[in-house]
Amino acid sequence: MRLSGARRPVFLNLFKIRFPIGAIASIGHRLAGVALAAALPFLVAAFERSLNSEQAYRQALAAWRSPAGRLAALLLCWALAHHLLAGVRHLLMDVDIGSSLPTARKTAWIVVAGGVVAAAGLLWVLRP
Amino acid sequence: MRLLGGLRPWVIQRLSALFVLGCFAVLAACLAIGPPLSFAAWRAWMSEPGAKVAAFLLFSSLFLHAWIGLRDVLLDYVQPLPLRALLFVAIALGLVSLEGWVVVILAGVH
Amino acid sequence: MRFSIYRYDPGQGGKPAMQDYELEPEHGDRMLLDALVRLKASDDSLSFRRSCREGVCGSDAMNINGRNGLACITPLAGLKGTVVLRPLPGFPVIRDLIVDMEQFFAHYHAVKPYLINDEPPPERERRQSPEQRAELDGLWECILCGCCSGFCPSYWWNPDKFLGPAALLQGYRFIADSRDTATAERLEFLDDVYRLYRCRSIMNCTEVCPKGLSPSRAIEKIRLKLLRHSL
Repeated sequence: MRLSGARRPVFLNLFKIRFPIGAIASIGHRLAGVALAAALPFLVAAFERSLNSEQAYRQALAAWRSPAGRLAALLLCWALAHHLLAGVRHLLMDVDIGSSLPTARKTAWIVVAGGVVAAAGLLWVLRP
Repeated sequence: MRLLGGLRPWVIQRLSALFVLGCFAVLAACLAIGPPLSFAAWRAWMSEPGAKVAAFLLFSSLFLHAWIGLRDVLLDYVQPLPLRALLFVAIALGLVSLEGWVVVILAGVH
Repeated sequence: MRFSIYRYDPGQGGKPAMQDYELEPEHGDRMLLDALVRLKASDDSLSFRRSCREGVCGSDAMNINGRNGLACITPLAGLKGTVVLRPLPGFPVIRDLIVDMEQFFAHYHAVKPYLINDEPPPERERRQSPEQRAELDGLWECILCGCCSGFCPSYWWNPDKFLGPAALLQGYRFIADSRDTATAERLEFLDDVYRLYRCRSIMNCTEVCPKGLSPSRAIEKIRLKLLRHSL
């Protein structure tokens, strides 16, 4: 006997679901993409300022040294590295490279770990 | 290829990704091999028509790629059609404005 | 063994809740389904689907300790700690672990999961070479249990518009069949921002398929076929 108008519940508590490493790589890819997209206006602004004058050019480079700048650099570096690595993984899977589950798991680990490592590396290269 | 099908955006997303990847690889190589760029050298390089075209293509690919990615996010999470349409328009306007801004910047470098 | 099981009674309404059970598995109890049958013997209100008890009918798909699987082929020995059982994620719950599969099957029907060939039938059968038959391996074995679609985030967000990995895999099964002549129409049907292209290659589907199939790979192959067809 079903109550009229009663809607059936749905189990969708994401905290109770055990996600594989591929899902972690995938949501990271999406979050990183949105973060990078949000940074696009700042990228264009920095591009403009860097071409304005010698002073503006040096200011743009020095901005990375401020605490806010370093935090932004860290997040954007991670976002860029993870999005790039995950993107390359997708492009390879498009042409059937690494599509099998064992390989896909390994490459997903490489993406997640590589994103963090590459970000740290990139941050060191761009160090003040 | 259907006009409003899913294949076209997917192809554009892949092609723009490959192009941006290529540009990044070249830029990374230049930054790694070459000496740190002075303001004068940076400005001189950006004044050349070739560099302007390359920069324009790179930004365009970035904006196109971002558009398709953000569109996917909206299609996934925003079910009500009026809200989704509004967000589509807002993001499209934002990206087109950025494109216009880039053109203005590039035109102003001599 | 301790179990924590999702309970929902449509007659009573209210919100679903987890109920705890204790069970001493007896000799001969090897699979999770054995434990569930024994639990039902003491609590008859506990509801779940089951039939073949050997992993071929797909009835007892559920979320086991956070991952989708079939209760009848999930060994009890492999389950650590409290065994947490929930219905397939994203599917409307009819009662306890029983979910509404109507939308899931509607998507299956939408891909026309039958051979389409209007050429006059040959005397005996439409022949295939061993290589052509091999193209169907990894596709025909699907038991439509729903583990894959129930683990796909894209299917969770748009279960009405995205076809989901199970239907898409069956869609490819007929595209890949050399005896089928409706490839162009099938591809055109799938070329849609929602039907096929919500797939982000997350690969959750392939992770949980109890038959070891790879819907993500089948979807990849559909995309390549769509690309080749457009050139």
